[in-house]
Amino acid sequence: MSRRTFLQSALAGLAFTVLPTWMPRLAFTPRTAQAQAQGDVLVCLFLRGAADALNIVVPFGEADYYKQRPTLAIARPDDTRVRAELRAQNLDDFFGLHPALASLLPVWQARQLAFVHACGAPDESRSHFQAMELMERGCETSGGPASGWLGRHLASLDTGNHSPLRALGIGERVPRMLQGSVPASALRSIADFHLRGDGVAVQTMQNALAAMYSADNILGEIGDETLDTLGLIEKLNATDYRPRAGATYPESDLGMGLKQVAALLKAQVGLEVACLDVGGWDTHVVQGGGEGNMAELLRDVANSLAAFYDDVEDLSKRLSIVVLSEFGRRLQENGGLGTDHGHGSVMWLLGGSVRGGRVHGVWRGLQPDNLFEHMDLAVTTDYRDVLGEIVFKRLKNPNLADVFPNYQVTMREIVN
Amino acid sequence: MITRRQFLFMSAIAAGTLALSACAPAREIVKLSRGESDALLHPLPVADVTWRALSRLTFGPRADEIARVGEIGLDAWIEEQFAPERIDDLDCELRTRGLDTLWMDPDLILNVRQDAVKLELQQATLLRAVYSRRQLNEVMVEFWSDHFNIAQDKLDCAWLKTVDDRAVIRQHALGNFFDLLWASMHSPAMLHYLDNHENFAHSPNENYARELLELHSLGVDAGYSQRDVRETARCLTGWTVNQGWTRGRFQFDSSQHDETTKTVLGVSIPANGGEGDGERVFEIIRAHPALPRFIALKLARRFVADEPPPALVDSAARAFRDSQGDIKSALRAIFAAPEFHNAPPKYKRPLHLVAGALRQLGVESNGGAALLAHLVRMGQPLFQWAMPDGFPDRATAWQNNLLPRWQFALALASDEIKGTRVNWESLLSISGDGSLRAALDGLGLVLLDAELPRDRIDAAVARLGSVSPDHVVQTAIALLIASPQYQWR
Repeated sequence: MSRRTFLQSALAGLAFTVLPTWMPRLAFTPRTAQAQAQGDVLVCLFLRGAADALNIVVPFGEADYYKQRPTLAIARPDDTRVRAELRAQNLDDFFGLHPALASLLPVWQARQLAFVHACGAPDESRSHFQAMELMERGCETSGGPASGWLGRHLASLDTGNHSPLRALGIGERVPRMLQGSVPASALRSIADFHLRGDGVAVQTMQNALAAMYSADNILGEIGDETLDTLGLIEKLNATDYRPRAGATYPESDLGMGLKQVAALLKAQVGLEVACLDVGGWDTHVVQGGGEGNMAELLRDVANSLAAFYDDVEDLSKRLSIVVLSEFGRRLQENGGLGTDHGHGSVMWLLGGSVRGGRVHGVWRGLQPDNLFEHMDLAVTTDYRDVLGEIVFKRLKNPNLADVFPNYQVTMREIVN
Repeated sequence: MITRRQFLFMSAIAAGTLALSACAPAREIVKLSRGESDALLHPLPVADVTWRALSRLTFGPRADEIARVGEIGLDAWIEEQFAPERIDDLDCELRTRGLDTLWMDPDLILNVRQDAVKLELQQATLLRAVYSRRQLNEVMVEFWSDHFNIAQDKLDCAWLKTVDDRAVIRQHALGNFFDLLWASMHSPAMLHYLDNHENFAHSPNENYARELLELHSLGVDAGYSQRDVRETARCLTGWTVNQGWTRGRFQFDSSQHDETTKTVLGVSIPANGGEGDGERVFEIIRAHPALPRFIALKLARRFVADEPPPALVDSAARAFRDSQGDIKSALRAIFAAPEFHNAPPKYKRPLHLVAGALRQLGVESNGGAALLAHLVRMGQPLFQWAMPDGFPDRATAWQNNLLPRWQFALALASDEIKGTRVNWESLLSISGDGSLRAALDGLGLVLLDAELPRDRIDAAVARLGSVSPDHVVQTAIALLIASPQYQWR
């Protein structure tokens, strides 16, 4: 059955269902009960610009951290010289959470939030663009497949899900990691995902576009995908979406983006993977500490994620959220109250199956001899181990050799 | 299957009008030379190869350009475009005349409201892409604006990018690359954007130094190390932006300069070099063997293919090197290559799509916020790309976002974009007998190279059913601009 005929039958079924909620629950039959039990929905946040891992999950137990960051360091949880709301939030008596991330503490306490520290890629270039490209492709060198690791995951796993919304990039483009043989659409907002005009004219135009795009060698697939998505979203009364009581999304791009994801998840339209980008992390100057530029970025991420997590609580058992960045930043602060490009980073994981409430990974310390090139946090866990474990255990895809070619994934027991 | 264009071309030859085959009938040429707008829309017979070249040398070929190429030949037309100052551009200048901030010096512009300054530069960029007759210059301005990307959202870049656009990018867009690089190294907007104004002797900031090597000159694979980045940053300590009476201008602050010795890419730089240390860095970059190929690769990617043929890149790099960085020489090498003339289609970036539709259809627009908003939705908000690598130049970065292109096509065709009006009367004159099929044919000749596949047009027309006569041209425009074929240049 083609996606189009499948979709038509799925939508036809709607007419006979009484739908009490804001959004019709589309019967995506191919994603059967058995298929649904198969894998998690993955939400992947990429912090573009190399987020400062050491000020996200703060090693407050390290004297060198305070020595190298006289102005930028986040104060210890017990440092009474600093206002309480600017101190690190104690996680395990060695690491603390940046205070702007406080809204995620309930998820940590519920053991559904974990971090993998000193995590990253082997690439040593300290170039945003090379590091991002390699990380999104899941490769170590410029050789290897041009597609992204998530694209290959989707292509190598037939879930029987033919939804046009199986994979989404939230925003104006689909990130490299989603590129592959399965078409993925970019979507900024459900409410704007339509063609303006009166109903008949628009439908006629869509039909004409379908004729123009059908079987087009290159754009045919994405054309079909776009038309299918239009058809699907038209059925959703998206502007009426009400998040669960208590879940308040920030009015930021990320907050609004995650709200779209929540709406689509609850509508059961077959969403398997959603990618979101958050920019602004290249904090060479005036990074700030407990407050300031980076704190505001973190607050937005935390509040958006907390609202999302709250909103989709019922679904958290089959939800995995990953937050990553291309590399971390230099231990020693620079003269502009910022930090230059470093090496090791931190990954964040949220979800019902995460072995949460702990900071995973091997921590070698911040003394010069333990640093990468005597400057930067060394990488002790390859990011592909973390992603690979999620792909294998949570997304139920055994084809790790397709997803991360030429790499042997080691299970680090970070998720169940 | 031959395309309609080839067919027109060949029938012109058969009719013994070879001299005029690739240009307009004489009366049309007269109208064109007078700049009469309906003549700009005249669908002219044109060889595929000319159309293909013009699609890359302009934001979308227009009849006056096709006619001029027919008259003097493509090579001579390119040479004309290489001397933009000699091309009369009064129409475009009049359209941008009201945008006062374009001409302001730093100390003056810094007093203007930020939003107004940002909008005027975006507006001017779009207007020039549409209306300037110095098309190749505008294409290169876009290229260098990506290469030396500066986002208006960073600090004083809201104001200073306007100065950079005028004094750096436009000043040298078709000049010498090293003049351009030198100007960029001294551009207050760039120094703010990449934090070099915070690069101090006691604690260097590597941001600008790294991107200077990686993105502006040598490429990430050139073989430099983290140590080279660090040393380059030290050479550039004290290169900052004046905050005093002449604020917003380049300044070397010797009190912030690291005067100890340095070694950059194997070259040692003695102590106490002052501002000269940065000049030494410039000389080291200038002499580096990786530079010509890095620039040539990016040029070839823009003009030829996402992954351009290595031999073509080599020949452009050679021309660049032999001419000591002459941008026109590198471009000539590319434009002379058969790979350029036989190049596979490139996916249009949003600015190309929007500017092209407007110029090819002779649309009147103020280039204002409503039109710019369409670029935002398509993913190319002008001067708002946060990362220093500039908007991507490969199809894969753009292809998965079709809907905003369709939305633009419909909005343009329905006259729904504030400040932008389609000139219906002139379009009617080339839309044939009033049938949708005829309108698609006539307007298709103005907008597209290849004939749209017959079977798909038939199917589309059938699905559209009977379109009321008032909506025929509208419908045809919307369908053509939204078509898969129009997404390529």
